[in-house]
Order: sequence, then C-alpha cells, then structure tokens
Amino acid sequence: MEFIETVDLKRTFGDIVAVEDLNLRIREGEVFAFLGPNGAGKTTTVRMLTTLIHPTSGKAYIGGNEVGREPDSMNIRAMTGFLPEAPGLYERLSAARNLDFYGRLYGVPESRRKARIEELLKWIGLWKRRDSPVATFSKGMRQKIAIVRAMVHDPQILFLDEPTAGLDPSAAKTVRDFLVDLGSMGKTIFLNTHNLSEAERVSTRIGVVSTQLLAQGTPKELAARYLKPASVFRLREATEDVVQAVDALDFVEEVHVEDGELHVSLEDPQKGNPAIAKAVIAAGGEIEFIVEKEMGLEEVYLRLLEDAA
Amino acid sequence: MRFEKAWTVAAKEMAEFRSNKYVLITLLLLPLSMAVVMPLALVLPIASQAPSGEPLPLDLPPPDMTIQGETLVDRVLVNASISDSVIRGSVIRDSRVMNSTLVGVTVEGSILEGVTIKNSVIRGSNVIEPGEISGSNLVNSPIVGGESEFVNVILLLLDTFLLFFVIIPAAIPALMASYSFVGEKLNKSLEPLLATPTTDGELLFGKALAIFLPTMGATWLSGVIFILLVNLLLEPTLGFAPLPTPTWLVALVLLAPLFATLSITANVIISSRVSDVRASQQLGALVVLPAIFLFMLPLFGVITLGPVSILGFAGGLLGVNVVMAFLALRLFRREEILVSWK
Ligand SMILES: Nc1ncnc2c1ncn2[C@@H]1O[C@H](COP(=O)(O)OP(=O)(O)OP(=O)(O)O)[C@@H](O)[C@H]1O
Ligand SMILES: [Mg+2]
Repeated sequence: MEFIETVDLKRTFGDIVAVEDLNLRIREGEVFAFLGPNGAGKTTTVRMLTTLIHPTSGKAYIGGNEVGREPDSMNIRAMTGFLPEAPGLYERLSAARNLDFYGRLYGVPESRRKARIEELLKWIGLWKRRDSPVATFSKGMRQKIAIVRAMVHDPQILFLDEPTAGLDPSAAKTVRDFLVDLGSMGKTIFLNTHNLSEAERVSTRIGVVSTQLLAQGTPKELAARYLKPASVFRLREATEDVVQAVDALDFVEEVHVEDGELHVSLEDPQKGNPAIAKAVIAAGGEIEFIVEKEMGLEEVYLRLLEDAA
Repeated sequence: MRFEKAWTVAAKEMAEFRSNKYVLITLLLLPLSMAVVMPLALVLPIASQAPSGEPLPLDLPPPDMTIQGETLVDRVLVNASISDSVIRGSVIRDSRVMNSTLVGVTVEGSILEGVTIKNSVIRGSNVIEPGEISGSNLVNSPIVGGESEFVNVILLLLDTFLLFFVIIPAAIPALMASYSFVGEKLNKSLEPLLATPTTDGELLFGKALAIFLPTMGATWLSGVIFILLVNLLLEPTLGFAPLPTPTWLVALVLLAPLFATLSITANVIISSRVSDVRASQQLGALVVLPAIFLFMLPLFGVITLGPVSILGFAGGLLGVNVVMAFLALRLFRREEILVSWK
C-alpha cells in the first residue's frame, strides 16, 4: 500500500458532489500537487485526509491507517501537519505562544519544543517578533507562522491548502523555496494549489482535479499524454492558400494561425515536417523558421478542464 | 482523557481571555460591583436605621422591688427587677426587665432581656436578645444579640442577596463561552485545532475548565468582599457578624459552582450549534433562569431557603449537570461545526 492512498473516495454536501471517484496513490517523500480550479474539491479532499470530515463513501489510508476509523484517525492526526485555507491563528497570543500551544497538543516534549520553535521562527525570519501578538502581523507573516505551526512536531506528512494564497510574489517565492527544501528533506507533501507554475516548480507529481481526478503524473508525462505534438512554422506571410494546402495533407490533424505563425498538430513531426514544408512552398509561402511547439502545463491543464466540462 | 492535553487547552484559553478586555470587564467589574455596590446601596440604609452602638454602660443599683409573673397596667416602675410579666401603658426607668412582654410602654435607662416589645418607646436602654419588636421606636438603645424581628429581616435580606452570587456564576460563562467557541469558529482556528491529536473530551473539558476557573474566582472573590463589607457595616449594629450563615456557605460552596457548571455545559452545547456571538450570549444567558426560579420559591412560600433546601437543590443540580456534560460531549460534532461554517 502506498503512503497516501484513496480508493473511490467521494464526498457530497447535500446535492453537491464535492469530489468523487478519487483514486490517489502517493509515495513517501513525494511532493504531490493537487491542482484544480476553484470549487474543484481540493479543500474537501484534504479535510477528509486530515480526518476533519468523513468521506461519504470510499476509503482513504495514510501510512497504513484508515481515515475515519479510531484509533487510526488519531494516529493520522499525530503524524500529519496541516495548513488550512485560513491560517486560523490566535490573534491575541504571540507567535511563539501559538506555536507552543500546537507543540504541546502534538506532544512535543518541552525540551525539544523550545529549540524547535526558535528554529522555525528563525527560519521564517520572525524570531525577533516572537513575542508580538499575531494581530500585529501582516497577512504574509501570519501565513508563514501558520505554515511552521504545521511543522512544530516535525510531521512525516504535510497537508498544505494553498500555502501561497494571498502572499506577495517574494513571500510566495520564499514559501515555495521552503517547500522545495522540505521535499528534498524527504517529507511527504500534499499541496493544494490552483497555481500552475507553483505546481510545476515545487512538485514531483501533479494530480489535476475537478470533482474527479482528471489526470496525474509529472508535468512532462502529462504533456506527453495529453497534448499532440505540434510544429510552428514562421512564415513571411501566412496566407489562406498556405493554410488550405497544409490542411489538405492527410497526416495533419489540425492547422491554425496564431500571431502570424502556422501551428500544425500532427502525430510525428519529424516524419511530417518535410512534406509540410514542401506544401507551404508550393502554395507560395516563405518559411523563416520551423520550431517544435513548447508544451507547457498550462495547455494540458486547460485542455483537461475543457474536456471535463 | 489526558489531563495535560485538557490543561494545555485551558491554559491557552485563559491566556486569550487575559488579553480580551470584554472578558476582563465582565469578570471583574460585574461581580465586584455587585459585591461592593449592593452592600453599600442596600445594606447601609438599613444599618443606619437600626439602633446602633455597643451596649450602653448602664450601672443599675440593686433593685428596690422585684416583680414576677404579673400583669401590670399604667404603672410607673423605677429601680425594679421585673420578670415573666406583661406590662401595658406604663413607664419603666432604671430597671431590669426579663422575659416579659411590653405593650405601649415607655422605657428609659433600663436593661431589657428576652423581652417582646410592641408599640413602645425605648430610650437609652440595652435591648438584649429581644423577642419580637414591632411598632416601636428605639432611641439610643442598642439591640445586643437575639433574633429580633429586625435581625431576622436583615438575615432574610442577606439570604436574598445570595441570588446574585448564583446569577453571577451562571451569567459569566454565557459571555465567556461565546468568545471561546463561537470566537474560535469565527477566527477559523478550530480547523487546525481539530486536526491535532486531541479528543473531543479533552477539548471540551479544557475549554470548560478555562471558563470555570475564572468564573469561580470572580464569584468567590466578590462573595468574600461582600461578606466582609456586610459584616463591617452590620456588626456594630447587630453586635455580631451576620455572614456567612449556613445558607450562605452551602450556596457559595456548592450551589455557585454547580450553576457555573450548568451554565458552561449549556453554553458549550449552544455555542457548538450557533454561529454568532450574540445569539450564543443571549441563549446562554437563559441559564440564569433556574437560579432565579430557585429564589422565587421561598417568596411564594413553596420552600424556605435554608441549608437543607439548598443542599437538596444542589443534589438535583448535580444530576442535571452530569446529564448536561454527557449531552455536551455527545452533541459536539466536530465535522458539523466545520462544515456549517459560513
Ligand atoms: N461546508 C460545505 N457545505 C456545502 N458545500 C460545500 C462545503 N464545502 C465545500 N462545498 C462544496 O464542495 C465543492 C468543493 O469545494 P472545495 O472547497 O473543496 O473546493 P476547492 O477546490 O478547495 O476550491 P478553492 O480553490 O476555491 O478553495 C464546492 O462546490 C463547494 O461549494
Ligand atoms: Mg479550497
């Protein structure tokens, strides 16, 4: 069994299906980005995995413990760290007191707790402000404290629900760098995000979700699996004649003009490109460049969501 | 249940309360104002009306005559020793009267011991452990000891003041619980908290404890201040410190914590189902009704307020508390609280 595994996991709220048919397998040490648009069921999934809410049907296992069953749920809570959507800190208490409270609840012994809190607060650059009430902190500072709050007990798994939401670009970068660091330290991270570049930068594997799991794999795998290769011909002038001539070739699947460039989708560009070039020239086109089309995660993502809709 | 987990929760809550000025004001101002303002406003006027002072230094000469077991009407009695008699419309001076009844009598410079006094005027005399005193005027005549009507009225009045010391522990948790639970909901801090390996029981017990301790601290502190102040004001008049009576002791030691607990469990139930502070406070405040009800009963003559009746009531309350605590735990649905967040 994988470290995190879900089997036909489903959760409804009344008539609303938040997630269904969710089958995830995440290995220990993976940084898994759970990528999906608003309302895709990311938060709902993480709430189920952190034992906060029960699945409507299906099962989920974390480190061999079954979600929603005692004492397994208690074990899961002890071994995971959780950053919810809203930081939910105690505004009246100081940064250090907030962390200390969680350290105690997670059963971190006093001797280790102090050192750990110092280490974490220094890491996020808030050690000097440790005794200020959280109410006096900026949004980004709060988010950082909430992130390290999930780490006081040095958990095996971190569930992070949109950790960079509401952060300025540099703070968001700091957080992403944390995540990369954590990943390289061998922590298993389950990261909810709707930010493509974040998923691409931080994670080892991506699951695209919109109520159902649409795809999972590394960004490269996803591109290879879901996007047809394409060649881009830069022409002096992309005339209607040229488009028609290329479209007439039987191995060409699709042609369109984008920014004056001819985008041609085909199964095997290496085999087809010479014939396309000939057809372009025959139709009076003048070729300046031929390049392979860059396949970003964005195309895959949008395509997946489009297909799902 | 791991007590140290519950205590961790309680300590966190109390740290939050300490920096919440609304909670502090409720905890300090409300009970203390009752403990100080009530005695000053209600007890002081009564105390000042009463004959006051230490027993007068009356040095009676040996009596010229001894009267025992007689009925005397319209007489002038000077330097007499009178016992077990009924005296009407007379004048008594420089005498000692024991275990008698005086009706329409004028007394001066005498010592009245165990005497029932009706429609009389007493001047410059010591009234020691009197029976009933009614329709009379005591001028410069201290009452020393005894269950006079006056003393009884004061004791009864003091017992009614107990109502406040039962309402206070019932009312404070309504406010505090609304900050504790609804506050945590609004603050969204419940979600990460529920993700920790803490059981419902530990969480609820910790939160209840964090409300119970300050509530009882404030109640008992104001109770002690009230007792001291009342004694200070009334001891010179009564010749003894009236508080704490057995009724007071039982009420403060037993009834107050039980009402606090009842209020806490009720408020825990309410605030885990309601999502705004005000609704929680208003519903929670209803818990003071049983307290008021208890103090209405003696007014309608259903029971007399005393240590025994309070003990009985406390026993019933304890039973209710156990049921409520059980209910609070059963009705605490962590998932529902999270999911019904708006
Ligand atoms: N407590 C709830 N009560 C009712 N419906 C809910 C509740 N929580 C989530 N839903 C519904 O479930 C679906 C998934 O919501 P969820 O919050 O899991 O999405 P998400 O992927 O986290 O979205 P976002 O990116 O906006 O945070 C939505 O349609 C939402 O309306
Ligand atoms: Mg979400």
